[in-house]
Amino acid sequence: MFTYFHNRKLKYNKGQLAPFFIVIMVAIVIMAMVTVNLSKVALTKTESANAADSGALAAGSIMANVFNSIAKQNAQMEFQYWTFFTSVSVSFTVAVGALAVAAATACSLYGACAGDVAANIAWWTMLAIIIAVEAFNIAQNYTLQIIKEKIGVEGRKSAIKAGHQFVFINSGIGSKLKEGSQRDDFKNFMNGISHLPTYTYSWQDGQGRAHSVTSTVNIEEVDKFDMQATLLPALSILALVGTAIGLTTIAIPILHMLCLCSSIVTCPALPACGGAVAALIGSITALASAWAGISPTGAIIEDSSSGALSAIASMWIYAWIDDIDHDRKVEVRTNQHHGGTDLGLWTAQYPDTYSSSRVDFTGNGKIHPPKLRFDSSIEAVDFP
Amino acid sequence: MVRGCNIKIIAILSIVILTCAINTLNAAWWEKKDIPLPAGAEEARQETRRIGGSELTFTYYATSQENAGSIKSFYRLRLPDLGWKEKELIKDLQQMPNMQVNSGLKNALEQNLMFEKGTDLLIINFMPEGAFNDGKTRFAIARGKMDLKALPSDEKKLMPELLTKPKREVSPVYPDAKLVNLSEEDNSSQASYYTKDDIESVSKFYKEKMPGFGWALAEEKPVKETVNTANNLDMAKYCPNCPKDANLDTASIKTKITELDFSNNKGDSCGIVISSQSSAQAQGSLFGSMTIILVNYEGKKG
Repeated sequence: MFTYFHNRKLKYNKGQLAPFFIVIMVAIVIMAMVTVNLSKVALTKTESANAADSGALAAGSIMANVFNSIAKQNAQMEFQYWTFFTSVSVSFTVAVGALAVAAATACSLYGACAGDVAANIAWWTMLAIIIAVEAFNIAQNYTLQIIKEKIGVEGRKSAIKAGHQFVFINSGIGSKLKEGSQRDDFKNFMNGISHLPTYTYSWQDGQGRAHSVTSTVNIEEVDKFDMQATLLPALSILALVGTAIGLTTIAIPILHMLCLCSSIVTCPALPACGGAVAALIGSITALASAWAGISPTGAIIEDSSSGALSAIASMWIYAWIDDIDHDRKVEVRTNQHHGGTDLGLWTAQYPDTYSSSRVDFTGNGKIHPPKLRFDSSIEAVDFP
Repeated sequence: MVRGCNIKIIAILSIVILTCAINTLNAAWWEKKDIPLPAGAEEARQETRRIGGSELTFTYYATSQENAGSIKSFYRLRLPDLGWKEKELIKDLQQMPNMQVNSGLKNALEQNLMFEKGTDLLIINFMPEGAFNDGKTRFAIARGKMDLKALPSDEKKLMPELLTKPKREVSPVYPDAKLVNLSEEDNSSQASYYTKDDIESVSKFYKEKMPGFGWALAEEKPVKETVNTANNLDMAKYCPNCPKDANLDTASIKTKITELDFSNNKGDSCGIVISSQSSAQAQGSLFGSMTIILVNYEGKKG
């Protein structure tokens, strides 16, 4: 064709633009097809990235609420510890004061009655300490289990679920589905999303091409708590106070007898007063150790227990939650797969699109001292 | 003349009435100022407890303007002017023969100031400095009367108890159980009680009586039983200043524990933990066997 036109070019002036126009038109059509192809890939990538970011922020917001809720509950645990420490400390002071009076008057013939009353006050006061320690130990452990199960476990599940839901909502799936059964199917799928790590939704378009969107949400379990405990385990404290009660129980009948004898000039029980004093002094010493045992200067104990309360007596008395062993991250990954398009001249294949988003939290990750300060923000995108 | 006398009488009467009013107000002001407060002290809670047969009112304070040392100096300076006398327990103990006031005992007594005014008792307790790491100093004032001449003969008036009652009645209270601890928020509460009765009786009571408060049993956890022995190694490891002669290896405690979970048609939940502890070394006394009841109420959220 070109040779024909070339040989006759001096004689034939018509139609010389047509071939160029045809060539150019073909080029333009090819470029348009490529542009549409690339635009579709870019759009998919944008949707995928938005989906990952939305999912990560949604899950991250819920996890921030989880940590803030735990911090709020921790403030309650702290306050309960304060009232426990105070009531035991006051009881200890009253008991020591009463034991001191009893010991000072034990060998005094006419002061023994005050000692008798004082020793009994000390006995009942030490019983108050036993009861306070047992009740507080159970309450703090139960509160910790509730925090773990209702806030930690359930909160994490809600975060994972929300992460998946926001990924699928923002993946542009809805606009690609036909009205009717396809949209109903997607709605049912969304309602069935729970806390599994990965979900995939697949569908076919009008041309029979396969599409799918996969969402993966990764959040560490909230199950390892670093606890500020008292200096001594509960059982040791109870045993020490029990020792003090036992020694006071030895002294009380001696003091009572001395009190009854106080109107008699010679009293056969008087030599026993030394034993009573020694018992009362031993009681004071054991009591002081028990008081030292409730101070919040004990080790940080890692607690990963769950379920029903058990072996309470041997457990540590928890003052508050010092921190949670958790990386404070939420990772969301999403993958979109779309079947190729037949452009007539050839079939365009679309590459799978991967996006990811990682969220972390402000507040330096500390639960103690308790403050509502956790807030989620995107830390990294498209990480491997 | 008569009119002049009437005016004088009215004037004198007015002055007398005014003086009496001023004195009454002054006395009321001084009564409130009986226990002064250091700068910035804010009240966090108040409750009344029976300890050693006496009723003591506990008031909890926190301040970010003073530390424990300055608060102690404040009260040692002000309270004697108001008739209070500090009881120096460390000095009293040091005068006893064979009494060793070690650093542990000394530290314990220095955390608590004790003042007396007749039979009135005042104890000021301080949380260890920096315990909560928020820059605040926490202290509590316990006040009540303590009479060393006689104790109540009725044992019920001697048993330890938290006398401040719950504002919200969410569950029945086991008969004769004494309240030990209470924490109430807008939509939740936690109360601890103790009784001498066994775990089975307490469990039976709650299963029978809770439906009357609108609760249905959602789950009952089986009773778990354990025996634990106190360990001298714990003492040596964690409390080197504690007495070495306390033979804790003979102290064993048997624990039985169960949990009843209830819910109602409003979506609220109530968990009841019942724990019974008994010590072989102290059988026959109140300490020998005791059951703790924890009632944990959570209102439906949202």
